[in-house]
Amino acid sequence: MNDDPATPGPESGATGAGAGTGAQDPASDEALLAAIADSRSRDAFAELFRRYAGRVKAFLLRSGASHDEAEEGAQEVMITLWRRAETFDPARAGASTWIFTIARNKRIDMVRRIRRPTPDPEDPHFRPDDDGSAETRFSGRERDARVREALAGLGEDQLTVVRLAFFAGLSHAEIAERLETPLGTVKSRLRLSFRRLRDELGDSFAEELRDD
Amino acid sequence: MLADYASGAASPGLALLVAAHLTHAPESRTRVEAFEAVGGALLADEPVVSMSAAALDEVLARLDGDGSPPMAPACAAGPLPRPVIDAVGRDFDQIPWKFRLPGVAEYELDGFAGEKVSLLRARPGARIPQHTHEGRELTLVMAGAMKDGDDIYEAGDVAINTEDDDHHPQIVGNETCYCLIVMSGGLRFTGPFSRVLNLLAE
Repeated sequence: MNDDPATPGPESGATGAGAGTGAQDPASDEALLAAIADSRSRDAFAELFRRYAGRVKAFLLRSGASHDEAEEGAQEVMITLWRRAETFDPARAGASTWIFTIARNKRIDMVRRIRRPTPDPEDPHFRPDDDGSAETRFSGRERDARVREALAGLGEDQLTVVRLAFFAGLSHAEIAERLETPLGTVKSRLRLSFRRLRDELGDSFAEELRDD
Repeated sequence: MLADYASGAASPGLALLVAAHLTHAPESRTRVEAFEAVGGALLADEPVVSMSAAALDEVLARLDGDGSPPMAPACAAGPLPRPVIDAVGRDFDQIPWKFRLPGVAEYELDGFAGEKVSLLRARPGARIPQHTHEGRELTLVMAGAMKDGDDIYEAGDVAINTEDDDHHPQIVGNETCYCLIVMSGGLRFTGPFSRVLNLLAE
């Protein structure tokens, strides 16, 4: 993996390391997605491609794809981004989270060749969000930035299990196998990671992370 | 379970059950979004692997190609949530139910290797039979209601049984109850389920 310092990171990555920002601020990832949705801006798309395609490719490689599969998969993820940009809702997710979900679905398609089931908001049985109660205090973009900061505070062992669980999509048992570590250790590292994230992210967000 | 759905680790049967559950459960959707934000943060921090030199030009040339293939017309869902009727692949009134017990019928879905995924239809007053199974059995109520001890399960609620349990929930109310049942045998799902039960049934 080459970590090319000349490639700008996702713009939301300005986690305080503001050194070297030029006179004009680069457009945010979210603004670029809006430019695609509103005016089919190919320039905005090209910029998002530069920011994300190589990361999506790295993600697919991490999941076990071959180099060619990862290259093709990353291109297809970017095309999906172009076609679905108007469905991006900045109140619900930051750009990197939204792109992650497209990449994750692509990975599932590549492995299983069946479509991932998702709830359909047009379904007459769909229960809409309760007014207010599910109201997030952060925009998706703010939440992404805070989660990134919180992850930066994890130890390497903890980050490794979080990455395998959330990123490589492995079950706890599979992580234990991969790391040659007892299952109980994997679980306790994940538990500690979540506690840490909760501490960093505050109660309203922590409540949402209460699964494992 | 929600975390596995968000990360993509959930097996196909489990993913179907979670998607159907999310239809009825906005608070679980919010939790899934929180887990996805962890994936998004990891993606943002992922070191870049270089794309092939021509990749951007190739993709730009493909942008205006024909979009996604035309979708098959949606099946009539009846009381079932959309992800479930899509997995069934036929109209609700064309489901070939098989008689199980008086008042209880079942239809098993194809294509879930290593899992048994089925729909259950139970009339008011009927008791849901226990499947013979190894491992875990998850039951999502999609319509109607069932009572197990003091607990009432309604649309969106998930009951989780292990092979040690001996439960025979009864259908309550006037509505026919429809459930999605997912059975998985392996070690894979022996993790955090007792807490998920609280989380989903509360």
